[in-house]
This record gives sequence, structure tokens and C-alpha cells, in this order.
Amino acid sequence: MDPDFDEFLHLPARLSLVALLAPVEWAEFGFLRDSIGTSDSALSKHLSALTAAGYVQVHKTRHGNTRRARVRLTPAGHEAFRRHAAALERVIAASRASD
Amino acid sequence: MDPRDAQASLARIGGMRERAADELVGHNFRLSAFTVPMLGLLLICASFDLPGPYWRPAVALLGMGLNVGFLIVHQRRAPVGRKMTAGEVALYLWAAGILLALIVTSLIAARMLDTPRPGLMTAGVVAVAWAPLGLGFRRLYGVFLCRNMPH
Repeated sequence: MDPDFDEFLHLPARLSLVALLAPVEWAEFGFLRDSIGTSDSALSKHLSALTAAGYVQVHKTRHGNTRRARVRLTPAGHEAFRRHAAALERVIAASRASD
Repeated sequence: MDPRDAQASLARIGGMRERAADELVGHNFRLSAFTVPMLGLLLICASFDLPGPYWRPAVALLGMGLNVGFLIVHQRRAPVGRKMTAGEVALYLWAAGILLALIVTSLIAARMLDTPRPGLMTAGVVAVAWAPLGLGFRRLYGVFLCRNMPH
């Protein structure tokens, strides 16, 4: 197994979340939920796991009656995602070379 | 690891990157982002025809206030945020330059033709040119974003 391959990050929902956050500075909770097609509670669980791993930060604000949560990828999250994507590319390259 | 699984994961990553780019373009070029700044600009153009020391700056300030206020609300409601790159700033400045050149040219032409309401004529030119210019810029911005967005 490639040492850069991140088993924790490879879960489809987590990988999708990190891939959504990687090219932007931050994203709203609602946008992430709709983009990966999950429920609020499921997304909260994934974000809690990613936060505990140090890959994302969640910043909650309140404007009147509206609560908003902005999620951003940490530098460690960026690095883990970059290495994981590179590991995936190497798997495909190795498979092509052996064909 | 199964290469097909790796391929599917990379495809998912690419799809999510496109989704984020689409959201940025979609939010920045939604209908309200087309119409409200145009109204603000039309007010500024129309203010050129108004008399007196009060009405002219008052209407121009109203137009500017509308645009600044809209920009603040628009940014606060954004579902995705991203710092603009130097290339994007240059793209926006280039578009603003084209718009400014259009306004100045229209105003000069209206004055040379001795029209009674040069500001209103300029506002009309801006209103007619706004949609094609805006749609062209949206397309250009989308292409630029897809090419320059980090992975």
C-alpha cells in the first residue's frame, strides 16, 4: 500500500467533502450537504470526524435568527488531500504500466 | 488497491472541484447580481442630467450606495468563498475598464450630438449593452476559473 494513501480520507463522503473544500477558502454547511447529497446529521458526523483528525475547521456564526456554519480545510487537510490524490494517481499509473 | 476504485475516486474529486467552480460562477452571476448593479449604474448615469447642486450627487450616491450595499449582502450570502487571484482581479478590472470606456464614449457622443438628456442616453446604451457584456464575461470567468482553480 502506498504510504500516502489515507484510509481515513478515502471514505466517499469524506473524500467528496475534502475535494469540495480544497479549491476554495471556505464553504457553507448547506452547500456541502446538498453537494454530497446527505442529511444534516450525517454531514455533522463526517465533519466531526474530519475536525478531530485536524483536517477541517468549522466556524459557526449567528445573524439574527439564522445560524450559519462555514467549513474550511486546514493546512494539514490540504496536505493529506494532496498526498492522497497523488497516491490514487500512482495506483492508476502503476496499473497502466503493468497492462 | 483496485485501480478502478482509484479511478472512481479521482473522478469524484474532479466532479467535486467542478461543483465548487459552478457554485462560484452561479452565485457571482445570478440574476440579482446582473440586475441590481445595472440599476445602480443607471442611476449614476441618469444623475448626469439632473439639475442643481443637490439632486445630482444625491442620485449618484444612491446608485453607488445601492451597488456597495448589494456587494456586501451578496458576499455575506455566498455559499462558497475564495480569495481572488491576481488574474481574476485583472479580469474584473479589464471588464470595469470596458464598461467605463462605454460610458465615457456614450457620454461624449451624446454631448457631441447635442442630445437634451446625455445621461439618459448613456444609461440606455449601458442597459442595452449590459446583458451581452455580462453573459460574455460570465463565460470568460467560468473558463478562467476552471483553468486556474487549484486542485
